[in-house]
Amino acid sequence: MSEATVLMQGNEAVAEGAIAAGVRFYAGYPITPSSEIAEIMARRMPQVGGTFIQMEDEIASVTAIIGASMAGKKVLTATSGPGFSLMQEGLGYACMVEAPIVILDSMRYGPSTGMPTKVSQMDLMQTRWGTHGDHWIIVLSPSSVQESYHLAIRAVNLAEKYRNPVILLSDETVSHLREPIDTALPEPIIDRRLPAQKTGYQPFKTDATLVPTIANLGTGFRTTYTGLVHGESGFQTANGHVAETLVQRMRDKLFNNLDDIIRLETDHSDDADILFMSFGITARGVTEAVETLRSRGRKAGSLRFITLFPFDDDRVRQAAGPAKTIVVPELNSGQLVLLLKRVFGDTRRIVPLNKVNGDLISPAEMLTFVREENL
Amino acid sequence: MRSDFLRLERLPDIWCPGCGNGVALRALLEAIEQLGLDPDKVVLVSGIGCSSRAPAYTAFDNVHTLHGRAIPVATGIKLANPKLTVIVITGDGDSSAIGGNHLIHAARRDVDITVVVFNNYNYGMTGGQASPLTPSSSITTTTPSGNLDRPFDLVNLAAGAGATYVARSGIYFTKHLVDHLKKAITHEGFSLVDTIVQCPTYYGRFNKRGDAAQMLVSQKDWLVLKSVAEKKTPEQLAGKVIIGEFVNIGRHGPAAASTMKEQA
Amino acid sequence: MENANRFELRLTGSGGQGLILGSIILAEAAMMEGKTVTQSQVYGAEARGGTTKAELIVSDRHIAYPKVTDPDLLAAMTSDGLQQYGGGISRKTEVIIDSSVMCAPDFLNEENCHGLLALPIRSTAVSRLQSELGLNIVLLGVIVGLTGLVGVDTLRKAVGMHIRKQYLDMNMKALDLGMELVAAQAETGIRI
Repeated sequence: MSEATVLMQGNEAVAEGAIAAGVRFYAGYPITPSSEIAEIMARRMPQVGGTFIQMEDEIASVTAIIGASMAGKKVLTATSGPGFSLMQEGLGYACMVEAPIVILDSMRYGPSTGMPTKVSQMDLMQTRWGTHGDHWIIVLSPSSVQESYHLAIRAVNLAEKYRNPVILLSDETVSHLREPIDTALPEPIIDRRLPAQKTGYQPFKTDATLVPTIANLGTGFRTTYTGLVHGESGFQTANGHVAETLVQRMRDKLFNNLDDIIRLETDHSDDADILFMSFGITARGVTEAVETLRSRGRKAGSLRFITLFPFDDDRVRQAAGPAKTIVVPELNSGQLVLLLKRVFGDTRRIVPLNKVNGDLISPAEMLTFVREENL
Repeated sequence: MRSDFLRLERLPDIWCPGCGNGVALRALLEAIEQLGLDPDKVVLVSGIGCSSRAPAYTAFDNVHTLHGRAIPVATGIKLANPKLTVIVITGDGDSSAIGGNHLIHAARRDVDITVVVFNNYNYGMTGGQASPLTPSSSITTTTPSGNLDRPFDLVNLAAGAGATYVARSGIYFTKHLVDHLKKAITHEGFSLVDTIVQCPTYYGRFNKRGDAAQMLVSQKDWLVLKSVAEKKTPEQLAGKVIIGEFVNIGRHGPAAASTMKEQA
Repeated sequence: MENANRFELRLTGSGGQGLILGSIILAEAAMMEGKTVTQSQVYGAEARGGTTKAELIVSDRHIAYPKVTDPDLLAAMTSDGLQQYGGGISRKTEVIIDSSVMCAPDFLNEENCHGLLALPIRSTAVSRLQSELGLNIVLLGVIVGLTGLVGVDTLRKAVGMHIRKQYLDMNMKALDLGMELVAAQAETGIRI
């Protein structure tokens, strides 16, 4: 283990990763199981010249980080399901004004107040479809403390690079787990592109990247923002053509860069006849289940979604390899499996493995499932 | 007023003929000009509603946010860059109904922003429904038999929540309004100016207040200067609204926004 | 999964006994010796003053599934803790109970666990350290004395990272007391 290896809790790793990525503004509201991030940021932000503020609710938290982002800061807020529900309004606004923000959602059992201290993966679809209207969100899912650190950096990078909200979709177990992590930087830090020319500046005019530059508030560009549909000037319009162009650009700026954004991790998928597809904490059990099945001579494999959204059917098909049977373990009543059924149709046997009692799916349970279902 | 404070290419504005919002906006721009603020360092933030369209017509950095959320966005902007002059333009519904929670907490924190409420006593954008500032018994599209509820007194609400500068004015009294806006903007800490404007299209029409000009001129009858009101009896002040400066005190303790960084 | 290099540990008792901190100290000591670890605990209202649980896995190699499924050692500092989190033990599980606060439970016998060690942990802390605050460190001494999971010097270093200077002597003594309890028990050879 290197010198930089320390024992860290998942929530702490998110906070430290965000700080390493340059986050200097945090607004939040306490909620289990994400509260440690606010507590850490309250201590750490002043140490690194940043600002921490505890807001009156999650609506205020997400809108405060949007304001700070517009003023030039890299920003983070953290919450869990009930707070994430309140943040949906701000999330849609951030999509529309293309504000780089990062929201950590540490999933707990829902709906409503549910079981605050119990793990789930029940917010998956909410990250993608929680706010109204056509919109695109980048969603990353860590399955370890180390990855919480890396993906926090990556989330901030992607937000700044693509001017898009990024959700770090963690869960109660990863948030509270302590593991050794190496804090050596895994990738370069990316900053937003600033405009060069003040004359004729158009806030939402883009080049081939389809990502507009950002004129931070107070830098003399006299920029303009609205959640209303707007053209390149940033001024609102009800012109259907402008609206269509805007919505398509917001999609294309991400979908033209899927190689950069999407990370799928495969293990023995190239020759597997049974493939587990999972994300987050559930993938940790899969790793052991696959290992055991392999040791017994069964050709098992795994595909783990590190990037959950954007979701690219072709990439998933390609990564899936030849497996005829796909098992989809998740801590909900079947959300990821919906996407996979759409991708594979009748070409593979898609088998959901759901657990909704607030506990993880252990490797032994996965093995029992495979045996009992004759998979 | 400097014409380069407006984005003329975005005019005409969306406001109805006779709307008071244009006068209120002009008063704000006058105040900014008279204070000699660097236009590059002024940010106007608004929520949703008729009033909240105002910032987009100005040549400053401007942020049209979500319904009720202008104040937390403005808080984020101010804390991220304390050198900016951050002014929120909001309406009575935007600030006191859906955004009421944010209003009282920004006042409590004494965050150094200025909130200018274009108060027309109803929701204009959606067709004249009742707001928390609509007077009792008033007719609106959602109080067809008269408003059963009591309104907030926005001045007392802000003061009670800890605002360190609170004033009320009306657009009939333009100099009075500009003067109080200037004091609010230069005030260090949370400031609020309840700015009474007319909505002839809905509130005025439903409540038989006459046309726009009559509504505007009537302000001199039912708005009473604080200095004058102090000499009147409660009976004499029945049905009147007092304008002037109600709170002007030093900032609250070390948690005040602009000292946060220094504290760190 | 069977893995000779993997050691699973569960500590249970009541909130405020410092068992979570104890598991973190042990985790850091294991890391100093080049091991990898995962440490977790129950959270929330159920952990405040009520029954608590801390878990630690120590391994030579990457730990995939991070929760204890087949504990090598279960240490219960209250009978409530044993009742609530004593499930999942097997023939490989060494069980330690605090004999100063509980009797050996009926449901533990040669058939369902590897062995039961009843030691007066809390009363030792109270009588020898004049404080029950040292209970968690006495327990660490017991665990290390019993299993040799980490070296004693490494453990002392890890304790030092978490304990304020003025309490360091007391906690080092607590470690010694824990190890002495195990040694004394070994001499008598009395086990259940």
